[in-house]
Amino acid sequence: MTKTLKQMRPVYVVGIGLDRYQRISTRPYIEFGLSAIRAALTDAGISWPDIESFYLGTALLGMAPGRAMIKHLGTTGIPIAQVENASASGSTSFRQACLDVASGLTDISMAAGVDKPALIPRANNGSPGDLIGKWLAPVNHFALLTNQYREHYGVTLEQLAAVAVKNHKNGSKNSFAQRQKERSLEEVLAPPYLAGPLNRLHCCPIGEGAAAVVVVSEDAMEKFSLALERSVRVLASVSRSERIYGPGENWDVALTRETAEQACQEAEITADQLDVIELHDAFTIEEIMYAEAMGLSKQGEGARDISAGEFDIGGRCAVSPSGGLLSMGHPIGPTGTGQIAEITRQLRGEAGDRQQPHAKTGLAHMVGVGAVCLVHILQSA
Amino acid sequence: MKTSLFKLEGDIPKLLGTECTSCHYRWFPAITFGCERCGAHGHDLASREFDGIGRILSCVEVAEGEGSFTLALIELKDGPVLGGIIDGSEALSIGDRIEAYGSEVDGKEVIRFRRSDD
Repeated sequence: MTKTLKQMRPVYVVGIGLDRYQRISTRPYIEFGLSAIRAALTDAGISWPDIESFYLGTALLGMAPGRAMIKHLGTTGIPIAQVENASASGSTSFRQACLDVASGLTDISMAAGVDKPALIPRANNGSPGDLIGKWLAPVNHFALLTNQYREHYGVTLEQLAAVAVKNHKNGSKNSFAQRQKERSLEEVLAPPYLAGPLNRLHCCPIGEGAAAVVVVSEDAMEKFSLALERSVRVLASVSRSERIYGPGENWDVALTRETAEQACQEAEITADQLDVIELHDAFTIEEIMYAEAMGLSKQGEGARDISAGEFDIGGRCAVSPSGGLLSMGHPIGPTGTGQIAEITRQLRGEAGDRQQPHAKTGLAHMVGVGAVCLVHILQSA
Repeated sequence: MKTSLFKLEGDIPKLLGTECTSCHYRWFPAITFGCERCGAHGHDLASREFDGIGRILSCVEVAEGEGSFTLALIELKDGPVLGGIIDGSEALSIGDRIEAYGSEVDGKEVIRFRRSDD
């Protein structure tokens, strides 16, 4: 008989660390990766030799970048693995660390994500190609979805742009965000357009960065006298992959819907109990569609809810308080781990002027090409 | 193994795809490793020639240098959904019927779509 994460040993996030997401620089990944890892260890009050397993989410660094980095923390012989799951690589590394602790294989594990932009070829899927070649770029794909959604639900360009305005405002208060500048509605609506109504502010920046989190069992919390009030329990970890959906149905949305539903069931909560969400807002239309798929908004009303301020910090559910992928950035490997760091910060009540009041329950969501979807639900202990 | 995407009968293109004879799921382009819906493979997969007619699910102007072109998400009458480039200066709407035709770009045969009044 199978079990959910909640039915296994409780898992807690006790340490978070980030190195600012930014444009590609001359810094070696090892330098900023170690920076995030050391920050997470310091935050947890745990030393590197206490870590019993390590997972590194990365998609762009090539083969086996993990040990080349962590050996500089002092070699301890622990099991390590690189986790590649496209945009969801960091989310998947977090899941693996949680499973180690939940199963009893370890008491203390670390998940990290590190990446640096590079042109990495996708795996050859044996296809002879398509009729549009290089024009299958993500921005064009999401511009098509944007127009399809707008046509169907009568969403205005101002409502669409409200997503980017909100998330850049949040990111402007986040010292780890790649984009730390507020943007006006006029700026988000202005040309030049890349595709359809999308200018670059509708699209996430892909830069470099690092994030790390420490997860522990109750035994470890007792052993290291870790403070319960700074611990966040992981209630659910759900990972799914794409099926064949109905004609014309958006697969990312359908996959998000079924993954989020399963996660809420496993966590024994309903969507209206969520106080804070970090979701895969690589393009503005994604936040609207995923908010509906998660049950935050009725179908076709997500844009209206966002432009009405319901997903602002201080609204009924803060969506992308970090700035999300649109403003904090999407360095691929670290993104999902960074979401866990933000949710943890919010549920601890340590998010400063980005704090969602009374935040108790949060959800992190990433999709990855392929296509996969991961949803984690966390709750203050 | 490299296979073709289409063949031209005069200027009428046929899009080369696959149908699973077990569950009747159809896809483009032709990939014969196994059916995504039911897993059938080998002799259960049949080559199909799809007509290049269908309707627009979505379309968008994409910037290219100083100009732009129209990219569309297209649902073929035969079932598969694919991306295509639509030629012509007419205003296009979701739901418009379109047809494929053979064209040439930089000396290479390509498939383009245009609005169909049929």
